[in-house]
Amino acid sequence: MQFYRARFNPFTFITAIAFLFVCLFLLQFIPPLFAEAGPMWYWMQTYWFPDVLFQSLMLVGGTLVLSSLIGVSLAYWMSFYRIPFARLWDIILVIPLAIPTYLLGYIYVDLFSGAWYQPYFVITNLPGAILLFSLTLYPYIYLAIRSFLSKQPQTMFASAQSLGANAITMFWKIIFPLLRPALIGAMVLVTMEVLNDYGLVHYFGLRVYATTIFQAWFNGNDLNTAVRFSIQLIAFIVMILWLEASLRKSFKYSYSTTQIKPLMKKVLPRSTAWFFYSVAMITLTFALVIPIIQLLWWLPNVPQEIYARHFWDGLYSTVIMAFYPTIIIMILSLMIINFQRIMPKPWKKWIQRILTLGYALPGAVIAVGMILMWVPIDRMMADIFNINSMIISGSLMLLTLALVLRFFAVGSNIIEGTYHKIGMKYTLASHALKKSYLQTLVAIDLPLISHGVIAASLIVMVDLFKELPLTLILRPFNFQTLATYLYQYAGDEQINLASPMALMLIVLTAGAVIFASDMMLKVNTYES
Amino acid sequence: MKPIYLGIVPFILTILSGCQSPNAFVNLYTDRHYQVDQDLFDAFELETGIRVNVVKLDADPLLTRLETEAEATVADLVFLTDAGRLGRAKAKNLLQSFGDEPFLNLVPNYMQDVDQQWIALTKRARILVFNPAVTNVSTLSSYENLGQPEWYEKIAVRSSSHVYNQSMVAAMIEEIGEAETQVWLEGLVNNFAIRDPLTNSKHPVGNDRDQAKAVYNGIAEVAIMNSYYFGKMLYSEDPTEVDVASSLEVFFPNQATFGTHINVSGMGLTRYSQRVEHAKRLVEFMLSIDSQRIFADANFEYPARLDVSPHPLLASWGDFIEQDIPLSTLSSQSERAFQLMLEAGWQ
Repeated sequence: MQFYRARFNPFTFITAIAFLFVCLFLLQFIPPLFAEAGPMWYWMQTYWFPDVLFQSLMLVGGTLVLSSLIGVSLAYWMSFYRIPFARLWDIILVIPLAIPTYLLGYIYVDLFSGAWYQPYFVITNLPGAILLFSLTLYPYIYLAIRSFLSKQPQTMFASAQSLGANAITMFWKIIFPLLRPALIGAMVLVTMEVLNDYGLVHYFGLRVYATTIFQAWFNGNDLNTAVRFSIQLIAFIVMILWLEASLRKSFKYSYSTTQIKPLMKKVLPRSTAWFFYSVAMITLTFALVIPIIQLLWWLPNVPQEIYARHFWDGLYSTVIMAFYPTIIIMILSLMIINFQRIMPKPWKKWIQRILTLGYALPGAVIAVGMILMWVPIDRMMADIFNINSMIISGSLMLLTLALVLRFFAVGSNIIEGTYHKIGMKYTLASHALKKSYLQTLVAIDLPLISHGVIAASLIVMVDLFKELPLTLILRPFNFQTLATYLYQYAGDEQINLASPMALMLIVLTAGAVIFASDMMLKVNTYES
Repeated sequence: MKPIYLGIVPFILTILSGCQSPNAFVNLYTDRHYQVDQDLFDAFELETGIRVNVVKLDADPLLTRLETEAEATVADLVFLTDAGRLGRAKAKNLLQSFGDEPFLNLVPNYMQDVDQQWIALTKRARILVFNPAVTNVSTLSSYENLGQPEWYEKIAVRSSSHVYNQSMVAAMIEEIGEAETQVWLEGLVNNFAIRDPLTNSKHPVGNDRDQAKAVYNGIAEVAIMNSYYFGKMLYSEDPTEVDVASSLEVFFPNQATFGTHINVSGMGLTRYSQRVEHAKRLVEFMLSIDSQRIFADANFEYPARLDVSPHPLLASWGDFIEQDIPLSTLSSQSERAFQLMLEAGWQ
């Protein structure tokens, strides 16, 4: 009986369905790979591809360096020194995560355009993009490092100090080596965000993978070429993930004692204070203050009809669009993690990895795949039931499924981290008392990991609110989110009219970011 | 029942609401995003009781989606900016003929498909904009002229990835041939005024309005841009834009030769439309004199019908000779045009 139950349970069932779905999705990319390449492929190889490789690497590398510099230094100072209003700083420093990078791009382009300094500050290029990505993505690094350092034992640093190490030696010899795993994890997140962005790189006309895939598929009308570029990108990402995994293995540390004394913060010396405030102020000025002042500046001139027609509609659609995927991702995460957790096996770990692969795929690739996969199913259903509509691709379902595929990893990683902490003992006790797996999940596990689940849903929502490429391509009739309104108005060279939508999007996302980061710092779930 | 299970109810309702629709409706895929379109659709529903459902997508994903949906599509009409894209829809076999509708006679032949699969509703011209205090109008003549060495570092135009430029070059290939277009492009790109200060490469920066601003700031002398953006700048909420536009003037190139390049927004009837009659009624409505006037006035676009006068501002720029090659030929050249632009170094 026990044998039977461990194998055939709701968790296995749900995981099997999800796995089948992801496999079918991935498999359809294989035939185009072996189809004969069209002239577009060769043409793009000559005139386009060298730029793609160079610009993609520069964009990712530059953003990683700059965002790590900002994120690590701020987190280091915040963790080791007594900084006035530290709670407030912790909140403010993560808010830039709430500003979509493309919005920052729209605002700065408009700010520079037409002014006398226009010729001296061209921002629509690679360095400009690196700067803007770093300004919005450094909070990933900051959060990871901050949360990691807050769990480090005082003893180690105290010993170093008593042995005469100064702040600089201590940072490079002790702290930095310790943070490598956390830093690498956060850097992978930043890399994914950069490679997946479409809004900004499209607006700036950069030749990176996301724009190339769109270019080949749409302008060149050549799906095979698009798929070939997608596969290259996927290979690139798998390499990064593999690198991360192997680096993490070699950097694993643990403590000999479970009694961890938290860090004692030092008084902030004048010189350090100067550094801290200038880095924090400069970052926040460009990431937060200038954009928000510009948006507020535009606000009074926005005609009333924008509110009546677009604002509430956009807000409602954004909330709806984020609601279902979040719920589904939470339920799926709980099921799939438990599938692995109750009876761990290496092959189960692999299944889990494949299920989280969606996060590594750019929105463009997922959109192509979803249309290719579901539209034929829709056509079949229309035939069978003799109805005249597209049940899945004509409704919000297609977009919901795509968003689940894309952001599943974000939610499931956080929940898994939380599960890791509570261990198995309560769950096993409940099973031993003849409670079913589902009953155990709802009555025992959920209350124990509720903070992790809430933090995970909030982080997923931050991504969903800002989401652009999937929503643009897969949304149903008459459906516009705040983000798509921004894209539309920016494309029409009237971003000023979209300032209410932009501000609402920032407020909404910032709310989620603040609550989530607060929970993460409190419960330290930001680990792998 | 636990409240947690109730969470699924709104989801089911949403799915169901996607399936049911009012009795009379017509579904439209569009890459346009102007308020005036929605105003006209609302007016159409008020007049006929037929509701217009809209999916707004960028043109290329829109066509791909339509192609994948094939005979199961729910779309009845596509409404696209740029004749090249309308031509591509036709080439992909996504459209059908409107047949023998009287409204086809309202619009000149070169602004509709040869097989009546799409028809233009509005029109815009690719104009030159200059600062009369700096540039003598007599030095301006044609697009080709802008490739001459005397315009070295004086031309402002947006990037080659933009479809309006691709269609302009496609039309050029039609008019003067591929070899001459290639020579012209090399000269033109060499004359670009805006450089990326970091790489010092000729990297077009910004959108159409930014090109006018570059002329205003003295960075360039001539900007190539769409007529309706210039109109919008003059009536902008942003005082800088009004400043910029009111100190610049409009020039229609190639008046002595093949005329100024025009492009259109038009509607095509999808091949598998299940509401052909409703769709035709909508096109007819959009081509009525009243709708054409509303179109023209709201967006500073030229009406497609020649018997409807444009906005007074556009009228004040005077009549001009427009390029009259059949716009349905543009799509066959647009891919080659884009390649030539990149080969010439037009980023």
